[in-house]
Amino acid sequence: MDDRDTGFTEYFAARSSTLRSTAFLLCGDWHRAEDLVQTTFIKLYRVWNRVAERGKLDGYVRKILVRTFLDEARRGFFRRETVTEDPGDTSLPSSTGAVEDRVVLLRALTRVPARQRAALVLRYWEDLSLEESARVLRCSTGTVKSQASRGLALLRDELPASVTL
Amino acid sequence: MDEFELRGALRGTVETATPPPAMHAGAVLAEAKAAQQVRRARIAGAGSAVAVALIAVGAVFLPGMGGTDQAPGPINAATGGTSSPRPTSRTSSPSRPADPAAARSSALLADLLDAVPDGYNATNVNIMLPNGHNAFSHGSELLDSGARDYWATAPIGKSGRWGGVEAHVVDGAARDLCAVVKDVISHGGANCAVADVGSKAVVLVNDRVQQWVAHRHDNGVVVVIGQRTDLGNDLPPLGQRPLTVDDMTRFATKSDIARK
Repeated sequence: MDDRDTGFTEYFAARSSTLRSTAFLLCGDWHRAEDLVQTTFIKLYRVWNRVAERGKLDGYVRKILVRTFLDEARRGFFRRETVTEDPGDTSLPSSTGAVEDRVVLLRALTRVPARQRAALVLRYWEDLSLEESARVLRCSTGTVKSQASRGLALLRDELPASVTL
Repeated sequence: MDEFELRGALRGTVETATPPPAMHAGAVLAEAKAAQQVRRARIAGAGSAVAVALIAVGAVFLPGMGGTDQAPGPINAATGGTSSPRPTSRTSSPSRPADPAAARSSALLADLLDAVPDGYNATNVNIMLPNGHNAFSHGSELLDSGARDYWATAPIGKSGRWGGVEAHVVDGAARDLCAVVKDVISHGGANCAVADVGSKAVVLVNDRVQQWVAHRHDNGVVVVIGQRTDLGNDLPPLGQRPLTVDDMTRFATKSDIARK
């Protein structure tokens, strides 16, 4: 294994779990999350030798992950998107405990439109600033603010009153 | 729930979820190297690859050029692989799911298939798009605007050439019609203009390969229909648009579709 592969493998071992968690919150499914992470690292490998500043790798990889998710989340044929398996119009079940509440939250999160969901995950899971989130989402900080605000409002609407977070 | 509670809830969600075993670095490295080799080979042999693809596509569609419109078998445009032909009929419509949202998008797909002119094959031919998704599909989701979008798509073919049709029923769209069309398509939409087709007010979007017509019904529901002359993959594109603007307007203004 050459230096490039060694460095890449070490970086993967160090970061893949965290990235997988981010992907899990974005797509709500571990298997899809792993696919997203794998696609992200395949894209990263292509440019590995060109990423001069290793200190900026984390942000770069996060950007690839979120943009890959957004690309795949687009719907319809002209947008080359995927069928929504989740019915969408059925109500979420009320919950009986903390673990169930988390499951309900995750399901509610998957009903938030993809860009709003990405804004929520970047701001409140990755703890990115508005400016950093805007760079990842390729939009203005005002748009990040409004996307996160609308996403949060929708999440509130989707969650049953019985859920305590 | 405020921002702080959401932050805590997201952490709790990840902590209480049971992830699968850690991903294997060696496997991902092998995938990455293989992908890079494929990419290099593609770049190096782009010219010859195009020639090979044309020959392959010709071989697949040669029977279709003899005058029959039998659907090809599943075609994976991403890999170029094909499987055995699956003859289907245009009258075959998707089964109606029990879920209301899926039922509505399924009904939209059936309506869309009904709108395809005679002479075109618009069955479930299972053509895969470069991203691995089936071009024949339907679904629903919330748009960023908060409106609910029910959509359906189908590839349509004639004499071995393929394009596509797509329809949306947007419930709760508050903005102007051009904005709604832009909301449901990914590219283009800049050439959007209000037009009167017959006695119906619609908006018409004309881009190079795609064309859209949208109409807002009295109940506020917006029906959008689009067509394009290619599938964005290696399959030969249609020589002309299958639907006329009148055909599309008839679909977009059909009150049954807005009420379903």
